[in-house]
Amino acid sequence: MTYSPSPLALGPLLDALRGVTWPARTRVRAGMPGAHRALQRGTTGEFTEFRAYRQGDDPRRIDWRLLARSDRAFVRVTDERAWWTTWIVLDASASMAFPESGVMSVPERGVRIALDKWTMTRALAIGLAAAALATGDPVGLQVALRPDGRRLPARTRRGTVQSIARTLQAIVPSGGAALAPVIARVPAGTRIVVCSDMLGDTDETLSTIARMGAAGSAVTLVHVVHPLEIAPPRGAWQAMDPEVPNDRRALSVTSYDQYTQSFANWRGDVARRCLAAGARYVQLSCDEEPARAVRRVAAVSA
Amino acid sequence: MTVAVPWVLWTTLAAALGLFVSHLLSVRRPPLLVLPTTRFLPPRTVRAVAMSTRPTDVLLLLLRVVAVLGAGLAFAGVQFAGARELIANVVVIDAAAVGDDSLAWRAAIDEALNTRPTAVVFSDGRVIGADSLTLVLDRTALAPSRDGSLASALLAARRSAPSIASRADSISLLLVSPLREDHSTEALGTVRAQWPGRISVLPVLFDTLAAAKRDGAMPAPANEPPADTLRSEALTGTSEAERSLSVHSSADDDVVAAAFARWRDVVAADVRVVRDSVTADDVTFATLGGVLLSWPDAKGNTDSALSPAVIANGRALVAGGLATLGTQTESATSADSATSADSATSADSATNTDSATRADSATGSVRTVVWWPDGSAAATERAVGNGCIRDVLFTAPTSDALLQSSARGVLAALTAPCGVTGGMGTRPALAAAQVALLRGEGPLASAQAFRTPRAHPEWARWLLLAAVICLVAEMIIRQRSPVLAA
Repeated sequence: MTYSPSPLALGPLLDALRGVTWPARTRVRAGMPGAHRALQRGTTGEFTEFRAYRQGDDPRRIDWRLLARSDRAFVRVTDERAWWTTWIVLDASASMAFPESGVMSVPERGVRIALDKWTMTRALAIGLAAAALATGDPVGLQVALRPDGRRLPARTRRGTVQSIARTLQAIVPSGGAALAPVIARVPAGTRIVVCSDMLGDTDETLSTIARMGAAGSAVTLVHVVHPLEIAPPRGAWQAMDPEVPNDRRALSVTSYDQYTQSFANWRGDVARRCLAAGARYVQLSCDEEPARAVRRVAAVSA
Repeated sequence: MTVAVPWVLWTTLAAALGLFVSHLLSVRRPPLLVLPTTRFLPPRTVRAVAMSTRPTDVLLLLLRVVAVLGAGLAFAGVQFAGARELIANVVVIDAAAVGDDSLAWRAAIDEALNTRPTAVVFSDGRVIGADSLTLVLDRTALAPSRDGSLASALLAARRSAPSIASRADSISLLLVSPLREDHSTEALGTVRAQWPGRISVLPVLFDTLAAAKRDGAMPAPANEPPADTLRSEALTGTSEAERSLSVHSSADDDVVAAAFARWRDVVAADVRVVRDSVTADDVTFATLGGVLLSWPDAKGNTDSALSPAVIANGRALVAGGLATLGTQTESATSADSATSADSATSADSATNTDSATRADSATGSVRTVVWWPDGSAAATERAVGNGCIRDVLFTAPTSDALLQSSARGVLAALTAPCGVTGGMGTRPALAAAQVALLRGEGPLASAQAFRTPRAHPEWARWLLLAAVICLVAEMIIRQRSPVLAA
């Protein structure tokens, strides 16, 4: 069976995300004026506070009216606002093309529709890009795909979302490209959102995330999980890993519970290691509404 | 179908059934499920038992089953035969007394043939199949045959059993015999052991009157014992009735009268011996059920004198299967040879019997009771009313030959009840224990005991060859199928 991605309606998704911004949770590095509070204090921009004059301060920043009233010298302090470049890194390995039939219903979780993992990832990437652009941030795209991957430079111009959507539309997940080198190519000090099922180079990816966080980047790991992976169909099956076709194992009644328990433990381990690396961890189920998933990832309090 | 080694056949059938079930519960690969998280499954084999209502790989199943069944049938020694009956009835006739052709024999044989026998076996070795039973019914096959004995009858049945065993599962043996002792009685136990099953015995009643009553031809008087009692008397050879004997002779020193006085015990019927011409009173006596023995006296005929040398050479009279006495006299020689009634009739004419006798002879009711060794008649019997008239066709010897023990048989034959060969009738009956031994106990004889086992029939090699071919074909097909090869 060949992979047939679920149809993704771009218009309704963007309509649902209209007005959604993606503010930074912390001060960002100084840069081009933007919407996020920067670490650098400056003289321009909106007033923040007064500070007693210290030797070396620019005498032009002294508030003369306050000096006249209080006979003390204070300087006006203002916060700098900067944009925050956002990089969306996607995993396009073969495991993301699951299930191959695309959209499916999930009876175990009510009458809910679950997109395939790649379509869900595409929707999330487009939604986050739209939110970032709405905030005024440039958005770039990195896709881990063999042999050379896909890369769109960070831009703020109009049409960036459409460009990202077209790029992702043309990609069919395949192979087993490593994700860590792609993350490592992202400039430091940026906001990085990694969307992956973490079934590839998990250890290297988490290490790279830790290094990127240490370098000043704010990394958010979106762990994409499909309901069928959490609860596979019961019965006797010959399970095959699409990235390792020769590795076939029996999924039967006897091994079912062992599988679910092992998978849950692994997800918890990934989340723990991700948080330990200073990154943010978000588990995304494919039966979740894409716009809601975008809001959840972009939420400051999340 | 017969099986030489049944357990091999059952094992083969069980193996074939197991093969079929294995194709229903075949261990095969379950459906493929693409699951990126396969790594979290325990590393176990991907084969799983799958249940199906229809057998998989039907061609392979057929080849395997044919191979197993072929080899199994070959090694089990299965032999296919035509449809067999459940029981084959075999009538064994103690032919030593068949030639008497008495009413008792007729009744016994008719009763035996009512069982629709598969074959009729005679004690002299003759076997008549079902397709020739009409010969028995016509009595053509019941020619006088004084060869054999009760034991030889059983042996003949044992010899013919293998040819009958292929047509039935069990063999029921019905022995028609007077149950009298003979020269083979001592070996009866050993011979009986050769037959592996019980034997039904139909005793022959040597009493014409009793046989006629049994057949309904003559109603039994109220004071007469029932037929079963008569049959019992025939078996035991004892009768409480005292038989009368009278000799009508004009001579005072008649040797015949002396002989009957000497051998009074052999008389088994009411007998009147007439040494002169037969009178109307004599015929009336015979008509009422007596035995009228017409033994004309031929005075001055010295040629009939017997000499011991003649007897030693075997030129003796024969009656009831026993060579007894006498030599072939001129008068007897003048009679036509043989055993037919016609020859007896001509012999009868030569003895100048009365007209009534000739009239009876013309009706064909004359039978021979005493023979010369060459088969010619020495004494004949004509049925008259309820009795009979016996015409002796040889001259009584003037010597004491009739007084010797060798004459006992001839006198017994001449004084036996009408329709009975005297020699047989006078033999002592088998003891009850011997009869019980003869009957035996338990089930009928299994035909399996008579079949000659053939471990490997001719077509067994072809079955083995077919099995090998099927195995080779199965291997080739399995190797050419990548799924099956895996």
